[in-house]
Amino acid sequence: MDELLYNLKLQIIDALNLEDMTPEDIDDDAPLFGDGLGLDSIDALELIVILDKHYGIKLASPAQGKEVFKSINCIADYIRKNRSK
Amino acid sequence: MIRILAGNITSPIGLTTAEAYAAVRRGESALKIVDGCLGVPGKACVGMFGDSLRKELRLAGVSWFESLVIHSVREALSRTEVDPVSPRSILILGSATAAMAELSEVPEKDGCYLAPGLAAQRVADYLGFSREPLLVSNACISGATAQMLAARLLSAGLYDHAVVCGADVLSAFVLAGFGSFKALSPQECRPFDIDRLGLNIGEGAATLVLSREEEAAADAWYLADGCLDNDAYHVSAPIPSGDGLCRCIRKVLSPALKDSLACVTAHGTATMFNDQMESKAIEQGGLGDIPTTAYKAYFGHTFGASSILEPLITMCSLDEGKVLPLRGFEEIGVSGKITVCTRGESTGRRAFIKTQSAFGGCNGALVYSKHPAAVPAPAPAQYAVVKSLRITPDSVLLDGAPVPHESTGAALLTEIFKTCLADGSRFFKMDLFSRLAYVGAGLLAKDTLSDCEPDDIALYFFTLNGSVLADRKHLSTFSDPGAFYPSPAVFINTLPNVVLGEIAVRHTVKGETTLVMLPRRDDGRMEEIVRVTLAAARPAALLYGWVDCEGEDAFIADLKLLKIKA
Repeated sequence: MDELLYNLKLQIIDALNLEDMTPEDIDDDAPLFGDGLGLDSIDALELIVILDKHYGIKLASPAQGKEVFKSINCIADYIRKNRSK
Repeated sequence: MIRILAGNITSPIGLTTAEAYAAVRRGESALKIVDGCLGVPGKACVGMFGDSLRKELRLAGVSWFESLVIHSVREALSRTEVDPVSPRSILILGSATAAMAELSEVPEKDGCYLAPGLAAQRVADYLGFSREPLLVSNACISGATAQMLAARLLSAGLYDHAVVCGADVLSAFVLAGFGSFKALSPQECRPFDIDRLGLNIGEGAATLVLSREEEAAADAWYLADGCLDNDAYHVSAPIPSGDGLCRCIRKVLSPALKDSLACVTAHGTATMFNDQMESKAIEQGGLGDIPTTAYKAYFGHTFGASSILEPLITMCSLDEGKVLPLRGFEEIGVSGKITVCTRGESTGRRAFIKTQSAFGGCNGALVYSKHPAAVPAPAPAQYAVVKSLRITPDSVLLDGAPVPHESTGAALLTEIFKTCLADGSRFFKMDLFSRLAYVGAGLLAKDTLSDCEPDDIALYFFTLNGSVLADRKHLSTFSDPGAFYPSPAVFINTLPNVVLGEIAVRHTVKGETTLVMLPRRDDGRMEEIVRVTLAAARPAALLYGWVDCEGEDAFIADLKLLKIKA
């Protein structure tokens, strides 16, 4: 697995307390909200913290993250284009 | 009838109700833009006490939170004959964040010192109350819940006077927490407006001295009625339809009351979700044609104080025959059809409804009036314990029988969750206190609530330490200035009533849900509160008890499920 994808999944599992999950369990293209991982509005806010803390990317609101947070691949793409650390 | 003998507002724009109201009438606001407020990076627009007032109010030997409460209660009491020493007087505090403020101030103190119930006790001792105080922590509706509890204790004849004080203080703790929720407006907030960007955090204390009276006096204000419930939707997002708050409004709104209402004093936090939801609730509740006003742009969101401070402002304005314009509002930005009071209106009416909603899914509508109608008490009912539960770090007893398990301590809760509940909830995102309460309620509620209507089920939990473990964890996410990353998932757990929201969502509990913090475990006190709650609200089922958590190997849940006898 791509290193960025792997680390990102680990960070998400840790910050969102996804019990008993490993990076291999998370599909790169599956939706994170609704059906897929079933994340909620607090998780969306937590993803904003992950982007800031690990990649130096500041999102102003969950609304701004709507497109970015569609799937792991979407987040990884956004990180590649915008990361400052 | 519950008469309001006196009140106080202790705020950055006035230290008495009259001063604060005069400041509002002059167009003053407590809100200011501060750079790096209390060490939190960036600009914040907050309602904060200035340095000189801070100095004037700060008392030696107690925290800033306690200082504000003491000032507010003392000033309100000074205008009454009420004797705090009397065993017939009780002090009830309402605060969303009392423990948090303490934590930021005295990080070296042990956990027990921080317990909000003990803060309440220190205040009660300072003011000379002989009875142990109560502290309601129901997030933003703490002050409303405290008033309802006071009214019930008075109506039951257990006390002659109740002093209800709502208070919260500004701290890095709450600024960082609500900042992580992206809920803060960088400018003065704009309730119900199309351009609203969020809330402003304020601080202050507000007090009502309540008394039970048989006959209505001329020209006095009364806490005439009220209703609390839960929308059972999500712990941090209100139900978009506004159903929970709407049910509260409908419950208190009689045709006669409608004809006497001067205004709705709305919560109006100016967050996207609250105001939208509240507008739907006001419209659906039948108040769309009543002028709606709100005061968050004057004081900020004062949390525990808001449900006392804001009604006091409306009482002053109606005494002048006026409904005040909604500061910060220009263009409607909500879809519920409401009548925002934009210019201020003259009125001869002397009654209003105060609405409020909070994290944890709870809502409240309280009625204040100068001409209160008698609200008939529900018919007395008998209740029976249908199930009981006790969880300690090494045992789980359901109706006295051991539930088999292998692990102990914190792992025991996870094991019981996995083997008995496994409901795909937010369990793994909860702090230990919440996990304990959630597992306990889950074991009791399993297969026992299906014969009850959701809005006929209530939750009443009591605790000493509440969320103190989550409080410490939250503090650790931003205490290093070089790594300021407060976590919304951690912060949400610092509101100790949030677990009641989790339970409400999981078990579709739509009756009232309340968390009371005591200075120590006192089963007699719990039973007393449960008794008056059953008498006044008459739920079909009530899940209640003691839940406390000091650490991974020190916790206890002692819960009961009561049901009404047919």
